[in-house]
Amino acid sequence: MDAEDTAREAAAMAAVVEPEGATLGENIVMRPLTGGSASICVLTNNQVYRALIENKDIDALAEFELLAFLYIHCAELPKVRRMALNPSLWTAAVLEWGETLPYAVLLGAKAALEQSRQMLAAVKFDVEAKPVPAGAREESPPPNS
Amino acid sequence: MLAKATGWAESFIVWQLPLVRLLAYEHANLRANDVWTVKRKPVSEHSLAPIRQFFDSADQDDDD
Repeated sequence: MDAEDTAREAAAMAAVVEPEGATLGENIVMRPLTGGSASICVLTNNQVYRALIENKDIDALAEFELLAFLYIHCAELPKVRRMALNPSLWTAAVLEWGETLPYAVLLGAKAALEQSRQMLAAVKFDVEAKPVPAGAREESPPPNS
Repeated sequence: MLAKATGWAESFIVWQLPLVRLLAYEHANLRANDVWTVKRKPVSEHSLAPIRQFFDSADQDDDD
């Protein structure tokens, strides 16, 4: 990347509205669900993430799943990324992080996740063939060159 | 595609941009490029019926 590209990227980034995390408790800020954190959820087979994407209820899921989801979104990102690549350490890392977590944080997280579920359901879309208006002539494909 | 359209750093798009905003921007970008999009609907039982019928009619493999 040359200097011109760097300057262009810096100008584009200057106009960005910074994403905000949700404060769940003292010193506990939940980062928003991102493409990267979603990939970690897939890698660790997180059921809370699946419920969010499939617009299902998260109340019936095991507490560990919620704890793991919170770990992915609250703990230091470099550490989360390192642990996600090491399945043998993953469970221990989540439980160690969750040991001192107040129960009120879990309850607060459920409310925040419920909001995320509704927002995700609202923005999902599919790509389809454009409908042809009634009576319009079907376009022929371009001639071979 | 979004990085190209906005000029934002890919690390920002992947690790900081909320998925909800990412989907909304991607949707806007597709519409701006004349791609037809529709609100996601649940898969209907009617459209699944022929697929189910196909798999039900396939021979069962008893190899394992």
